[in-house]
Amino acid sequence: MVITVGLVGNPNVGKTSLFNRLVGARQYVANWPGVTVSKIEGATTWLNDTLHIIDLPGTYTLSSQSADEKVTRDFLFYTPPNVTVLIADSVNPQQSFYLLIELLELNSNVILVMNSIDEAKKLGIKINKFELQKHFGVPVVFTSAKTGEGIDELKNLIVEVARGKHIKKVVFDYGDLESIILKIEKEIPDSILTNKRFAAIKFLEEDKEIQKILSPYIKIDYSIVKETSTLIPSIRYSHVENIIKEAYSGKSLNYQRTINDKIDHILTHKFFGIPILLVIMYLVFKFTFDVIQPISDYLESLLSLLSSYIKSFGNNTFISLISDGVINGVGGVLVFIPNIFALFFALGILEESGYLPRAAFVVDRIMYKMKLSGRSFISLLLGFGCNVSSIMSTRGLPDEKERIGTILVSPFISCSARLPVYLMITSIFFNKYKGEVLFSIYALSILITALSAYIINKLFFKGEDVPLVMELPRYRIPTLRNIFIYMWNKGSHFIQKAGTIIFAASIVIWFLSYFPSKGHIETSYAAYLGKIFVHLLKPLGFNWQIATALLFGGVAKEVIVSSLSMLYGFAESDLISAQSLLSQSISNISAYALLVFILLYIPCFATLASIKSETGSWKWVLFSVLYSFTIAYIFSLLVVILGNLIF
Amino acid sequence: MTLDKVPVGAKVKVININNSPIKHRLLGIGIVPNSLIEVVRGSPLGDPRVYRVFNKLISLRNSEASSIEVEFLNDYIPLSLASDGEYIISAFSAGQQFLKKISLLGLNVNSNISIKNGEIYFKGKKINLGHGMKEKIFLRRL
Ligand SMILES: Nc1nc2c(ncn2[C@@H]2O[C@H](COP(=O)(O)OP(=O)(O)O)[C@@H](O)[C@H]2O)c(=O)[nH]1
Ligand SMILES: [Mg+2]
Repeated sequence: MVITVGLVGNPNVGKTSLFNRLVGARQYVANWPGVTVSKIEGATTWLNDTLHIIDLPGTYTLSSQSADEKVTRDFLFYTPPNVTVLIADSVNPQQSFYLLIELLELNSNVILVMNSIDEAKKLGIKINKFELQKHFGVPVVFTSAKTGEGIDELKNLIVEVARGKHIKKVVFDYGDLESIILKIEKEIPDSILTNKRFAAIKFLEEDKEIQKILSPYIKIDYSIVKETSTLIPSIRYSHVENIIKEAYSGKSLNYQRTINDKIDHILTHKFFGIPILLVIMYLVFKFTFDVIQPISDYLESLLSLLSSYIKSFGNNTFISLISDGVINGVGGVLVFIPNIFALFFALGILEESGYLPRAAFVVDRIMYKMKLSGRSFISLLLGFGCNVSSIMSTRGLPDEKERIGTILVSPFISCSARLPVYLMITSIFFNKYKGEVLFSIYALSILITALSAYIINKLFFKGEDVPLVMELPRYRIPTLRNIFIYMWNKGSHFIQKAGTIIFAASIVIWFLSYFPSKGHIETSYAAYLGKIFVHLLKPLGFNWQIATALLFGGVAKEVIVSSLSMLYGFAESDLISAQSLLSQSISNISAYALLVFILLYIPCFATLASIKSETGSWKWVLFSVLYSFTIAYIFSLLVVILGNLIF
Repeated sequence: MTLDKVPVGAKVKVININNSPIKHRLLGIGIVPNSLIEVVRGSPLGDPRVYRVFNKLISLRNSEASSIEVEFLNDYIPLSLASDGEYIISAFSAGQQFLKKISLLGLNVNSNISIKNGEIYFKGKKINLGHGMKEKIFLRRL
């Protein structure tokens, strides 16, 4: 039998960790991040059954007010799984039990999982399983995603519940409101909704969606609904407190509290909070791009060895395709893989330990001005390394507006791939003012990112604020197992998705520069394309060689360096001949415009592929290309116009 | 009074949640009428701030906290917001240095003070305290 299992719970209770425990690291884990669906599915076999497990976005309520709440609600409402597993935090169970009461009003095949039981034990908290089973009327299991305790028991329970085992249905009483609930239930036509009690309660809670469906049928004074909308949650919480009084005993939580408060006092300190954040981010960068660099360099030298080994077999079309096209093209991206994994390793530590939400908290005020929140700050900062990792890290952002906004502006953060290009151009044209020119480009990068975040929010989200109702979880010491799972789940995506796109693009580019004249770039299709494209770029003072290089740079920004070298026929290291050739072909003002253009024009292929996979829509890819090209053109043109006026 | 106006260290009781796009989430998190909230600390730029709700730390922007109506607990009124009357000091919410400073003035937990026309009197003598200090002293009305 195939049993579908939905995992429901507040953010940070351990849904994903438990999911990984249930599905096992070797099992297939698919990922569909997107506008409406952002749930993760995986399957495992247990005895004679297949458990199809769905990890739903974390939520505090089953209302339909925000996008992430709606994903979970709609899933449970319209396509209820065979078994719904509510994962509760054993240490701080109030919010979990509240969600459980809501869930029990909606579905009946529910299991209550008391997770993080290891922490509860360590703190001396005693939980009475039978009291919980009695009050909620569902089977209860104690688990720890850290030690693996209770996982098999949970799997057994899932199978039993799917086969029809129930304890008893508990109805949570709303006192004086019961008569109103009953009246509404009676007014709901059978053909509209079947789960009438849930619908009636949600109606009284001012749930927009249910109100829309029911309002033609329900006759009620809406001033009553104003009151019931806060009264119902209040009553639920009083049930929660009563149950906790019965089921919980043992030590209070003061010990945990003081340690947490002490760490927070330092990490979110009025004066040290921001400097500490900067130091930590600096260390992450250092680790990702310096400490790991030897591995990347080694990989790069291996790849170029391979390429020249293949070339040693002769000089024909096929060999050129493999060495110039596939190995140089795909390899150019593969060399970033150690950096990407290192980045996610470091981020994994920050996330698992509980620091990331604190970092978001510390910088939120600054990000708020751009209609983003503190959480997107971390994502954007990563963009200075690589825009792809920046876009991929937006998966952690729960607000859809913010997630899309962050994804769309992140290409304006000047990634490390652009640096070699800047270095080449500045050393040819602005050798004396290298530092100043580079600084101005990075400053422009930050400025345009902030501006775009604002514009995009205004354009698509009508200036709506992104809320920051965020939990700061208790600090934990991260386990290596979790960090490796985190790193692999986030990083392997890069190999799969970007890898396939880069592979295809590399072949296309190779084809364009090899044919029709077998390697003579001047008369290749690529040059032909560049000569068309350059018409558009004439006002900026660019020539066809630059146009072609920019076209190729669309694949990966570093490609501009090698393209320009190829097109001008000089060796990359030979700066003197480069200087004379290139410096004669465009003016200094156009050279600066070129820097600006390279910073801003279309995101590279890997970035576009990530935009597609993370937003799930070509619409945003198209927008990103058009928007960034327009911005690049406007700003470069401004440079040329102002430059000509001043100098 | 709304939650964003409550000084750090104070504990308050929720009265009502006004309509806003995050109303349901706030209710779900446990910010319901009659629940207790402690203002734990502010971020370096003062906004957002962290609140303790049922032992969980929740960060809210001031604009979000302003949709939550609260009142002080009778035995936990910050001196900075106390009206005229007789009080007893119930707690201080600050570190060692503050405690040293305050004990130099002779003030302790359980000391009686009175407020007349907004001035503070201790043992019949008027004492001057800065606003920052007043926010860290909590009183019970007698
Ligand atoms: N000690 C302990 N930590 C846990 C347990 N389950 C999850 N965690 C930690 O809690 C944090 C949040 O877990 P995660 O699975 O991401 O929660 P989610 O937001 O519900 O998906 C991570 O740092 C986990 O390592 C547990 O049973 N015991
Ligand atoms: Mg998760």
